Amino acid sequence: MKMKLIPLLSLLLLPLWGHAAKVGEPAPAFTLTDSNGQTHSLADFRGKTVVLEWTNAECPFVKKHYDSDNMQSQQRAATAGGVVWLVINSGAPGKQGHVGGAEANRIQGDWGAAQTAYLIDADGKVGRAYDAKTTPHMYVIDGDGVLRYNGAIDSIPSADQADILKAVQYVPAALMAVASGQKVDPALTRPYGCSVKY
Amino acid sequence: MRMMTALGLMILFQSGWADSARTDHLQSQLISEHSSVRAGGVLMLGLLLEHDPGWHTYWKNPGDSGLETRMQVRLAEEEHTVAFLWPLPERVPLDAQLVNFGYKGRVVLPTVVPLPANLPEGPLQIEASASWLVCEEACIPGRADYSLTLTVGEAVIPDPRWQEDFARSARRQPRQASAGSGFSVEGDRVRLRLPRALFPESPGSWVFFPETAEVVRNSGEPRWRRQGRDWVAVLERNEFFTSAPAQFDWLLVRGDDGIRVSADPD
Repeated sequence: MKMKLIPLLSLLLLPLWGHAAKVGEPAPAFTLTDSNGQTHSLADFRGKTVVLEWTNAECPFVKKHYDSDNMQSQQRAATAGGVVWLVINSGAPGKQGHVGGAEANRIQGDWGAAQTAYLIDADGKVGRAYDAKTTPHMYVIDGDGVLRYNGAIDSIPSADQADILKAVQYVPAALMAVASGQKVDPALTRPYGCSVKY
Repeated sequence: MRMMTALGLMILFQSGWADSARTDHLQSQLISEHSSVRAGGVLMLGLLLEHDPGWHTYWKNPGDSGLETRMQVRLAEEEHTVAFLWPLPERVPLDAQLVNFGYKGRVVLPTVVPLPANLPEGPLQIEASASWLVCEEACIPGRADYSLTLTVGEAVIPDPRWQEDFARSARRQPRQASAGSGFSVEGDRVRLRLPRALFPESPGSWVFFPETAEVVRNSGEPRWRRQGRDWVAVLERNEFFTSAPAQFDWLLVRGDDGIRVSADPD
């Protein structure tokens, strides 16, 4: 009975399923324009580890990690070690947190952010391809283009800066594991924050 | 940070602890079902939330974003992290793929706190701190501290101001379904099984809420099919699924009626 039902259902539901961005599989390819008008493709960074950070400067969870300097210090440490750090904004025009390039540069400049590039994904296609849920939502892609981490910035879902020191910061741990050829653990966590404003 | 805390404490002392608080887009209050309670009994407390129109706070499983509401209660020098008796939530869809679970309008999140047997008769001071995330499209984290004074005495006396709120919350508690339901994870899918004896008619008109997070995709809505003695539905596995839980709790809700199904691994 079970054997009959499942194949039938999978045929019916196939078009709805098959989401991209699975840990252990190639990360979805993309090309986006950054806040300075330059285009970047994921493929440009082959051989380097890439961090993706979904952002919305008006979201209190993003503010938690920038006002405390947690995000910037992770960005500085990662990029100093040769990691490419891409901030992505998938906010639709008219929605909270959507910005143009100049505004993005001002925000990140005020925060002293140290990303490699700030990418604008106004139609949300890249966000959807990665199934980005929240701001922040973090991904780590290794030099072979394989997704190695997908999830929360850290282990304590809250908007309280005081929790940062008590939390496990997942991205630096994932970067260390990738750099030393170890298994990333955890590789998949539930992200927390504001919803991405597609 | 320390300055901020000191400042916060000063403001707190100046304004005094109140039983209600007005914060961004939310009026909240610590309430008790009874104004007079007995030592050794239990206290039915509630966090009364009145959301501005269009704004919501979150259920135990907040869904694809958001945070569950939390509360700490202090009484008789004991601190309790409360487990709310979550009333039936609402689906708050953000778009076709993202969904949250939470509360709008006026709702009480009740909780039961045991009272020590050696409580002296007379006034009983209760303090509580709650935190939440209130969202419309934008989200604002909120927190408040409350203080409430009840009487410890011989008689248990209901507080007439809150009977209706507690009664509504009690009506909207899920009933626990008897055993016999199951789930199994098959690749990227999760198969749910529900004995037809529980639902002689199709559960299709009941709204599904995953209470255990990270098992099925939050936006999934089961299409039940009859299979032998069961109703069966297949849902997409949660994006952040890592391993099957020992028990998968989900709710089926229709109006004020809700059933909690605690499914065992098949």
